[in-house]
Amino acid sequence: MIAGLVRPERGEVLVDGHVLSGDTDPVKQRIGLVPQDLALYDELTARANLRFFGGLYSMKGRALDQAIASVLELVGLADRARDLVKSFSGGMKRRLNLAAGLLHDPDVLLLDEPTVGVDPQSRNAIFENLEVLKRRGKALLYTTHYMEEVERLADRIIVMDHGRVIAEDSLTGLQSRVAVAGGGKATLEAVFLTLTGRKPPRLMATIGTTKLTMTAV
Amino acid sequence: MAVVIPKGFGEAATQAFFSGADRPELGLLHDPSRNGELAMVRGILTQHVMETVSGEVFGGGTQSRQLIDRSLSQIQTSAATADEKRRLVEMLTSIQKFYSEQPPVDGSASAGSRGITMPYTVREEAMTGANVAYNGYAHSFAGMAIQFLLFAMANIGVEMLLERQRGLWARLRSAPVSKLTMLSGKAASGALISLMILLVCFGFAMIVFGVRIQGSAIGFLGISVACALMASTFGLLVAALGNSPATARGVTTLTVLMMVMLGGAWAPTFIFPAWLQQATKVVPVRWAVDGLDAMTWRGIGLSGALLPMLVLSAFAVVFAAIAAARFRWEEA
Repeated sequence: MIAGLVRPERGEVLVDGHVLSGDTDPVKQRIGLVPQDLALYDELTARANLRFFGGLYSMKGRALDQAIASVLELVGLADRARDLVKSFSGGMKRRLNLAAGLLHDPDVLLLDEPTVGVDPQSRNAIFENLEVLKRRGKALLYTTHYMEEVERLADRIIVMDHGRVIAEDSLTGLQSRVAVAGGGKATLEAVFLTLTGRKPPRLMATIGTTKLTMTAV
Repeated sequence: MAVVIPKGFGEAATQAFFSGADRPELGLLHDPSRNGELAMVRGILTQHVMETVSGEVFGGGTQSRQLIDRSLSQIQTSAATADEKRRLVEMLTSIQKFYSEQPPVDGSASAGSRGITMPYTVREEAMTGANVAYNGYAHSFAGMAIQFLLFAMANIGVEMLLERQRGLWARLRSAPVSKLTMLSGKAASGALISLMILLVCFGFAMIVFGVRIQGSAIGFLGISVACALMASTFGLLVAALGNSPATARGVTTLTVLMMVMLGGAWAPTFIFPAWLQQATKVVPVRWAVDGLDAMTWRGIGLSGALLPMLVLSAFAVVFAAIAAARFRWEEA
């Protein structure tokens, strides 16, 4: 909905005070989408993929070349720019997927489970990229099932269960809602289980239906 | 094809000319796939045998004189009445006298000149825009090219379904680009690929098989562009109506094969039954093949290209409109 793929039944999406309306709304220039699926053309090179996606944002010429070089450098794929995407590992494709969303230098980046099925090295590389973006002042809207990712990255957390918002707070604020024996801090997983009213063994079977969303501003 | 002429054929044929009895037999050995040539040989034989035999019978040659003599000797023993016998004897005697007053003839040249000849001549003229010879390769390449590009565009439609399945359309739609622009982009790229397929096919046909654009080059180009637009929007239609890549692939293969078969891409439509020739006008391939035929071997000018171009463009508009209305942007 925020990316303009689905029209809201009610309410509206505001980006820096501007209402998002219609497919060609220029506000979409300020939003970058990193979908959960690897939205890439396997038969093209990394550079050709980025040239195509850059063209959708009216990027061309030298500016596009520089943007491509910059994002490939950021995700550590500069040396593979001329290689076909189909020759990439899963982790490399994930990083290129991220690069495609960053190409037009959006202010808001929507990340839908960007580390699904990624090996620990690639996941760490993606985290480092996101931390760089966070330091640059980008707003990241990050959806994940992994609590440790939230603990590491999030400034503000929205807990959702079955499509409903259960809680919205900072990490410390959420942790303070759950009492822990001995006076220590509760883990985010414990917080989550408590807020959703489920016991751990049962929850482990149903956690796949629950999403945790956080924004880092 | 071979003609087997039995010994004594000429004499036997002359004797059977009036009576019809004991007719000699000609053997025709032929390839069953070439019935057209069999009919042609049968016609040639009929013409020449009738000319020669009738010339022999009526021209006063040796055969005809012997035939008169033999008939005269057989009249008295025949079952005819006395009056009939008298009249026949008078007629044959008159003919015998006529022959005896003529210089003796020899050979088929003079005999043929007195026999039955064709009472007319034929002037053949091909109804084409120019004085051109038929080139079957032109029709074959038109059919093949249309088939190639329809399959290629159907494949692009299936690829669009795969892209939607892989989430690529979500990324494309997150950009500030209208849906119309995205579909138009797909249609334009498909049309360009189709045009290249057509031109490469005909380029090959021209170089290797001597196919020529005997009609209008502009008309040929116009029909090629209209064909390309029709095919690319057909690809969009596949993407719009297909539920999944797998089902779309199966249904599309059958659809394309039916279209090219009924459209005259495999066999020319003039061999179809009359009702089918009319019915297949609803198939876009029919207009594509007919249009390309008109511009190549039929040698018809630009005017012959206008209707096929118009109809193919109309098909493209209809396909595009249905595709735009029915295209599902999200995976179900």
